[in-house]
Amino acid sequence: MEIEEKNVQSNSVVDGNFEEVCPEKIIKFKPPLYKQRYQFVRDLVRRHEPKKVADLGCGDTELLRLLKIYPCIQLLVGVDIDEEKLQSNGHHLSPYLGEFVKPRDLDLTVTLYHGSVVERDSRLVGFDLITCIELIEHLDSDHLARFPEVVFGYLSPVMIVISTPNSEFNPLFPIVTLRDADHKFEWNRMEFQTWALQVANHYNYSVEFTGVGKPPAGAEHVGFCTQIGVFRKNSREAPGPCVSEQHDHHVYKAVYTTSYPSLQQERVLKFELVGEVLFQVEHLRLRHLRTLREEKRGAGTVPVPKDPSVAPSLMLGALFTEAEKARIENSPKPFCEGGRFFVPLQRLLAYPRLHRLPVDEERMRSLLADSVCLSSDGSAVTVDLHNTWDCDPEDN
Amino acid sequence: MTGRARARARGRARGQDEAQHMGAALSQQPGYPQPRLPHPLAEGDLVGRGRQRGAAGATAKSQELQISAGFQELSLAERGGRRRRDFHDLGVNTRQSLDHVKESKTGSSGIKVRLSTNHFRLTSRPQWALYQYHVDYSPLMEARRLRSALLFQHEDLIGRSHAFDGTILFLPIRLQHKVTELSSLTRNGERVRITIALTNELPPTSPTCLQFYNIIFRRLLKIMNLQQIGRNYYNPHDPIDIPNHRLVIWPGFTTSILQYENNIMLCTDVSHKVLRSETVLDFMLNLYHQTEGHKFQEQVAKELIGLIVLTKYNNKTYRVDDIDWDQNPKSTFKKADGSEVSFLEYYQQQYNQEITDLKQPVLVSQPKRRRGPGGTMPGPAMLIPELCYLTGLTDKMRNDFTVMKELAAHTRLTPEQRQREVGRLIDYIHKDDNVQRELRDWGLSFDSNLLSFSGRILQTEKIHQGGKTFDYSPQFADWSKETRGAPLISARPLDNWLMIYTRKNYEAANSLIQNLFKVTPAMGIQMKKAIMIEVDDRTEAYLRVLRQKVTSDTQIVVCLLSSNRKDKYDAIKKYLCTDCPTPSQCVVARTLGKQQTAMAIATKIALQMSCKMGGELWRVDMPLKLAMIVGIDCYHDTTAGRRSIAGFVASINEGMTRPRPGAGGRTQGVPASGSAGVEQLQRVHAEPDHCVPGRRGRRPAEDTGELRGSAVLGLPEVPRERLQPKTDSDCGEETRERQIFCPLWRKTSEPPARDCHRRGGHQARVVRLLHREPGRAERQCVPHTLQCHLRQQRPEAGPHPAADVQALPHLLQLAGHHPRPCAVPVCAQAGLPGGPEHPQRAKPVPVQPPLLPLTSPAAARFPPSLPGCQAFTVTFLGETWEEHG
Repeated sequence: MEIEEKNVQSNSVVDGNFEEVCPEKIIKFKPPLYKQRYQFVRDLVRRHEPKKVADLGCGDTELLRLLKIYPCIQLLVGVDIDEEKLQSNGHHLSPYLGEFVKPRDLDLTVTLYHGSVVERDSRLVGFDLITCIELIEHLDSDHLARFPEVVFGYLSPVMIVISTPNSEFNPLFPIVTLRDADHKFEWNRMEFQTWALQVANHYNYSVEFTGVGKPPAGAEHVGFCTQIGVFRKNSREAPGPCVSEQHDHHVYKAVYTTSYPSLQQERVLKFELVGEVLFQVEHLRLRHLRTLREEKRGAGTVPVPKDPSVAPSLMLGALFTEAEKARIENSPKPFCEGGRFFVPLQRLLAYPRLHRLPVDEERMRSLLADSVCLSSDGSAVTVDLHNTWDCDPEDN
Repeated sequence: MTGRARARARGRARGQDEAQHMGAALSQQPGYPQPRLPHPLAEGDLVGRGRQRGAAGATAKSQELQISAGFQELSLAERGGRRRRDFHDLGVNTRQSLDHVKESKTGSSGIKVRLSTNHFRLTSRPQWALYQYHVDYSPLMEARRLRSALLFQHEDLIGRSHAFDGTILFLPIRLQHKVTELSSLTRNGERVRITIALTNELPPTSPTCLQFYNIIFRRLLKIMNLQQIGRNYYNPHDPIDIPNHRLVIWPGFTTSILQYENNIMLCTDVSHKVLRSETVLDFMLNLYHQTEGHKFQEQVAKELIGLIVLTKYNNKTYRVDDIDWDQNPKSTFKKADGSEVSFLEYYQQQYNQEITDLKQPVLVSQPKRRRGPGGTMPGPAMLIPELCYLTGLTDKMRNDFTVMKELAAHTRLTPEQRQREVGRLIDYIHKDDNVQRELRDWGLSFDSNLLSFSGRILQTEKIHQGGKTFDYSPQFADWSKETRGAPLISARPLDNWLMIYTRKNYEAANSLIQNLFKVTPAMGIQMKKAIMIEVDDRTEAYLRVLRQKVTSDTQIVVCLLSSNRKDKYDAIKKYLCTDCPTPSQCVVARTLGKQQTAMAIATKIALQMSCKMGGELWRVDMPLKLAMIVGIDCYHDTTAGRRSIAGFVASINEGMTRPRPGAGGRTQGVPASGSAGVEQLQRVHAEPDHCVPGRRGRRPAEDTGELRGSAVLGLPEVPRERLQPKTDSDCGEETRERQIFCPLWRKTSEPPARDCHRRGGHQARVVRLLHREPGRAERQCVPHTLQCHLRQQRPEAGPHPAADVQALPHLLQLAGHHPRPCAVPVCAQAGLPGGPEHPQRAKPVPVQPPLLPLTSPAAARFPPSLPGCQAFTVTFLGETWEEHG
C-alpha cells in the first residue's frame, strides 16, 4: 500500500468508490483506497471465519461480491436505502456457473434488503459480523444518534467494523472540504474515537482503532486516510430478552435473494460424489492399464518404473500428505476380475477428493446406487477394464 | 451451445456476421451502446454500399430512395473501427413492390395448417419514437463511467430510462430543447459543462432501434437473473444434473430482436448449455496414463487447444490457445499495479481458490479483442488447469450412446415442450415487475402469445427410380421400402475396389461383402469381388495399406473400422481426400453386427458407395429445366489459425441428380471462394456433356460442416452479385433461431414427416412452407427471399440437421400458383451423418483445402465426395414449368 504522487489530471472519480484526487497534486493510493478498505474486511473474514455477515450501506454490493467466495460464510446480507441500486446489482451475487459444477461445502444464502440502518429488523439479529464501511458519515445527527442503539443494542453482532474518513488527512487534498457532497460530517481521529469508545462502553463492546490509506512521507502525523474501528462484543451470552420480544419484526423489504448449491443439499452431494467417484475410478483404471502395459513390455528388458505416476518428462498429480498416503495404503486395493476392474468404496473414500465429502461408506453406497455399477456385495465400484475409447499409446 | 459450437460462433463473429450480431456484441456492456453507432450522414450519401454495381444497382438505388428513405442516415459503412459487413440489403425494401412477390408468398395448393413460430411481437405505443442525443463534455472527460456519473447527476431531467454509452444517449422522451446545457460537479469540485444535443428521432423500425431493442432486451434478461454465456442466457436456478457422466445442463434461451416484414419481433429458442465437472487437470491426468511419456505434451496440446474452458472463480470462459509447460502455479506474473505475485498466491488472495497440484503447466488464452476502441491488446490470460472446467461435449461423449440418450432426454423437445419452454420466457417477462417497469418506461411491450400464421402441407411428390414411379408415405419421410428392388437411375459398375479390415473384423467384412452381393443386383450395380486387405488396428497400418494399394484405377475404398475413434477416421479421410483423391466409405464394424438389420445396412452402404462414385439414385420431377443448384458448406477450424474452408457441390444435369464437388480454402469469409467456385462451376457447365445452366442456385449453410439441407435458388435475371454467398451465409446463421411449431399435430406429437428431415436414410426432405408473416424483412437477406426453417420435430428421430430453405420469388410464384406443389426435397445423397458410415456429426474432417480448381485436369479425378462437402442434390417437384426470363 503506497501512494503515488503525480501532477496529472485524473478522472478516477467513479461511482462512489472514489479515490481522493485533485487536479494539481494527486494522492493516489495503490491499491485504490476503496479496495484497501474491502481488503481489510476480507482479511478480517479470513481470520475470524464468521458464519453470518451483513454489510450495512452495501450500495452496489461490491463488498458482498468479494465476500461470497469465503466458504465460512453461510448467510450474507446487504442493506441499503437505495432500492434501485440493489435491484440493478442483485444479479451480480447470483451463483456463478462454476458453483453448480463445483459446489461449496456449506449452504450460502445472499439477501439484499431495502431499508434504513436506523430501523430494527429482527432478521439481522445475531450476526457474527456487521460491516459499516463509509456509512456513518452519511447519517444526519438524528440518525447517527439512533444508529448505536439499533446496530449495537438491537442487532448486537459479535463483531462490528465501522470505517469513516479521517478529516485530519483532508488538508492533503487541496480543494476538499468534505470528500463527498452527501457527507454530513467528517471526523478527526479524536472525534471518531471518542464516539466509538462511548458507544463501545455503553453496549459492552471493546474497540480497536486502525485504518487504511497510509499518509505520504512527511505527513505521518495525520494518520490513515480512512479510520476504522473494530468492535468486539465482550460477553458472549445468549441474546437478551429484547430480541425475543421483537421476534419476527420485519421492516426491511427483501429485494433480492439467492441461495447457492452446496454439499449440504442431497442432490448436489450426489452429483459431486458420483463425479468424483467416476473420476477416481477412471484414473485408477487407466493407471492400472498403464502398469499392465509397462510390465508386459518391460518383462525381462527394462525394469518397470516403481512409481507409474512419475514420467521422465514431467510430474503431474497432486501430492498426498503422509497422512493421506497412509490412509490410502491402509485401504483395500483395487483389483481385477474377469475383465472387470473393481475399486472398493473404502479405497475411494481414502482419496482426499472423496474424503472431504460428508459421506460414510453406507451413505456413499446409497447415493451411488442408481448411477454407478457396484459389485454384487456393494463394497466396490466396478467398470469394464477395457474401453473401446481408450487410446492405445502405440497407435499414434 | 457446445464449446465447439461456441468457438464456431466466435470464429464467425469476426467476419461477416459481425454487424448482424451487433446487439450481442454490445450486450457485453449492458445498456451501453458502444460509440460505434452511426452518425448522421449527408443526404443521399450512398457510397460505401458495396455491392451495388452496374445497371441493376442503379435501378435498385432509385427504388431504395423512395422506399427506404428512413435508412438513409444510416450508412453502416461509416462505422469506425472494425470491418463491418456491408449493409446494402438494409436499404432494399422492395418486396411489396414486386408483383411476383405480392401473391406468391401465400400459396394456393395443399392443405392449410395453422402454424406458430417462436416469435413474439414487440409493440410500442402509437407515435413511439426513440430520441438519440449526442453528449459533449467541456472540459473533455475521458472515462466512460465518469461521463455517465456526471450526466446522471441530472436524472430528474433525463428520467430513469436511458441508455448511454459515453457519447450517445437514447431516451424515450424528447427533451424540451434541442440542445440542453447542463453543469455537473466532479468529486474534487471541478465544474463540467455538459451539452446534450438531439441528433435523431428514430421510428420503431429504424435499424438503430433494432440495436437498441437488443440492448434493452439484454438488460431485461439480466434483471430476470438469467446468466449470460456467450450470446445466450441461462437460468441458473434450474440446472439438470447428469451425475453419471459428470454433466450439468442449464436450460436457457437464445434471443434476437429483428424486423420481419411489418413487425419487430423477438425471436427466441430454447438452448441448453452443457457443463462438465471435470477440470482440465483431471483431463490431463487421465490422458497421461494413456500416453507415452515423451508424447504426453504433444497429446495434451492436441486434445486441449481450441477447447473452451470455464473458470469457476470469475465466471468467464476462455479458449485454450496454448499450454506453457515452462510455467507452473508457483511462477510469478506482474499484476496491473506492477507487483509480482505467484499464481498460487494470486488465486488464494483474490478468489480464495486453492491450488493443490504445483507441477501442472499453465494454459494460455489469447484475448479476442482490444480493450475499447483503439485500445491496447491485453496480454494473454494465463490459466491454471486445476481451476478450469471443461465445457461442451467431447467426441467420446458424442459417440457414447448412453450419454447422448440421457442428454437427449433433457434437451430434445417435442414441439409442445419447446413451445412451452419458449413461452416461459415471455411469462417471466410479463410476471417480473422490474422488467415490466423497465419496458413501461421505454413504452414497449411484448405480445404474450407466439406468433401464429397459416402454412400449407403440400402434396407428396412422386419418386422416380429405375423407370418406375413411387408414392411414399409422408408420415415417415422414407421411401427406402417403396423403392427397394428397383434399379437406380444410374450406377457405376464396381470393378476395382478395396475392402480394408482388421483381423478381428474379418467375419464382419466377409458378411458385408456377401450382403452387398445380395442387394446390388437389384439396384443395377454390377459388383466384382473386392480386394480384401487385412491390417493391424492402427492408424499407421491403415495409411500404409492405402499408400501401397490405392491406385488410380481404384474406384472406392471401404474401410471397416473397429471403433468410433475419430483420429483414425480423420487420417483415412484426409489421405483419401487430399493426398490421393479417391472415394472412400468407412463403416464401423459394430453397425454390421446385428443380423436383423444387416441387409438394410448393406443396402444403405451400397447406395452411399454408388453416390460417391457418381451414381444417381432416384429423382423427383423438376419444374426447372436448365437449372444448376450449388450447395456450399463451410467449416471453421477452431484450431490452427482458425482457418475456414468452403466446400461446394453443384448439380450438373437436368434432373439435378448428378453432383459436382469442389472446395476452396479461405480465410476471409465465404465470398472469395464462393464466387470463385461459382465461376468454376460455370465453366464446368460449358463442357459439352453437361447441360448448360440457365439458372444457378446455391445452398448456403454457414455452419460448421453440420449438414443442413438448404437451397437458395438463383434466377438468371438476378445479377450475379446478388448470389454472392455473403448475404446468404448470414441467413444461415440467423435462421437457425427460427423455428416453426406445428400445433396442429400436437395430438399425435408427430408432425407429418414431410416437414422434417429424416436421418439415417439417405433422404432429407423439406417441404416449402408458404407463409406471409415471418418472412424475413429486408435486412440481411438476399432481397426478395423468403426462407423457412423447419426443424426436425420428431424428437425420437435423433439429432436433427436443421433445414434452411430459401427461394427466390419466381420459384415461390411457381409454387404458389401451380396446381401441383413445388416442394424442395433436399437429398443428401452421400455421407449424410447418421448413416451407416461413421457419423462425422459436428465436425467434418478439416481437410487441407484441396485447392483443385475444377478447370484443371486434376479436377477430372476429383472424388465426387468429400467429407465436409457432401454431395447434395436439390430437386423440385411440381408441374412442368416453362422457363421464362
